[in-house]
Amino acid sequence: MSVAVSGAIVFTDIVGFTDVTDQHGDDAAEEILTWQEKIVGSVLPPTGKVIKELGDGLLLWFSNARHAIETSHRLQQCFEEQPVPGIAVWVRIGGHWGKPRWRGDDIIGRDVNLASRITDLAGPGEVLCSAALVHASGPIAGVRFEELGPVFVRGFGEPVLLMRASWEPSDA
Amino acid sequence: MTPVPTRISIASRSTAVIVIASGGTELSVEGGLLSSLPDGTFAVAPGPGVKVMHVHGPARLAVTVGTSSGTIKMSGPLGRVAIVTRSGRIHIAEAEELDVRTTSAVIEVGSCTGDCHVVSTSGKVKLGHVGEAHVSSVSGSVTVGLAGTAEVRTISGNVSIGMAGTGGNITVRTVSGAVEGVLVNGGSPSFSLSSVSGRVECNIPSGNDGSFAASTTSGAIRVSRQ
Repeated sequence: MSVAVSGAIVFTDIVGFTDVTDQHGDDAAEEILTWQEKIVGSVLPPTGKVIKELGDGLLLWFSNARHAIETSHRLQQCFEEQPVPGIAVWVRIGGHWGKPRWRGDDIIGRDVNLASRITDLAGPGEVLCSAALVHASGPIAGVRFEELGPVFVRGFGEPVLLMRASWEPSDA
Repeated sequence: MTPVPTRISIASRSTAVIVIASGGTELSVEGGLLSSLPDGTFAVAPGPGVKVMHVHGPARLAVTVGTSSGTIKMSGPLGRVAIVTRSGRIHIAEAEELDVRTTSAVIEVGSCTGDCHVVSTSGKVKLGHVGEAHVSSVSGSVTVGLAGTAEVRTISGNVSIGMAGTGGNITVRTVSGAVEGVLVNGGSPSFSLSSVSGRVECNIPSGNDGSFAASTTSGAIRVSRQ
């Protein structure tokens, strides 16, 4: 029997990675992914882990909601610095607080699917959160959560309340 | 005395949503159900089988809309507007702040005095007069008539943006999209224009009236005066 534990499910996705690869070649693509691996390893807190790599994206897990949001912001800051000079690379990040099923080292279930769909709605450089993740986190100094309203997410019957996390310039 | 409604939240799968803001203080809905929430805001949902829902509210009303598809049209001066939809057509005449995100809907905005966030995958984005634009698109084209400050990112979508040349910073980054900058007024910003393999064309001398930065891998960059 698989185990269900509450936590933050976070997806990252490099926007237009296929186009970047087409324009700059496989060496650049590999360089970007190697760089991503390195920076994710350096910013992940002890409460977070990489569940798996999904092409150019990542599935992350955090036992602490606030750490999930803060780490997402740090990742965005790192990507703003351009991993490979001359190549614009942007990441979009979406997160949800839920209780997925663990199957070995992987997680599955409705909450994982929802986190993935939330990421699809994020723009480059953005961090989108479900209301459940924001609620589990509570207020974070320097972070403003702007409500995006009820959102019909593909594959889900009921609308989901989403928030955009934005950081005060002093913290950016 | 009934307080003037300040915020409504509309959830509709495919019903067309028409919001009209005017000078009155009343909130009314045709073709939908209105319910008040404990936090003082109002929720609106379409009635069964309704194709078009009309919402009339006071000026500066804040509106959030979540739909799957269908037309969303807003007229009159609105406050903060947030819309998430997959497809359809979105037209907003006037808002103080905006957050619109879509997969493929066509987005048209008349004016937005404050922050204007637009996220699109393939839909065309056409903004009129905006204070501070943050626009991203994968393949849809982006047109901004006149922006005070703007940050535009696309992968392959072309970008056309007007700037006043009286201060303010415009940054456009694309992978393969073409960039066209138009100086609407007489000033001269400082320019930073780079394309790895595309043509860069700008005959305006660099000045100190704000900045215009554009970078692309293979797209062309052209800056001209109106």
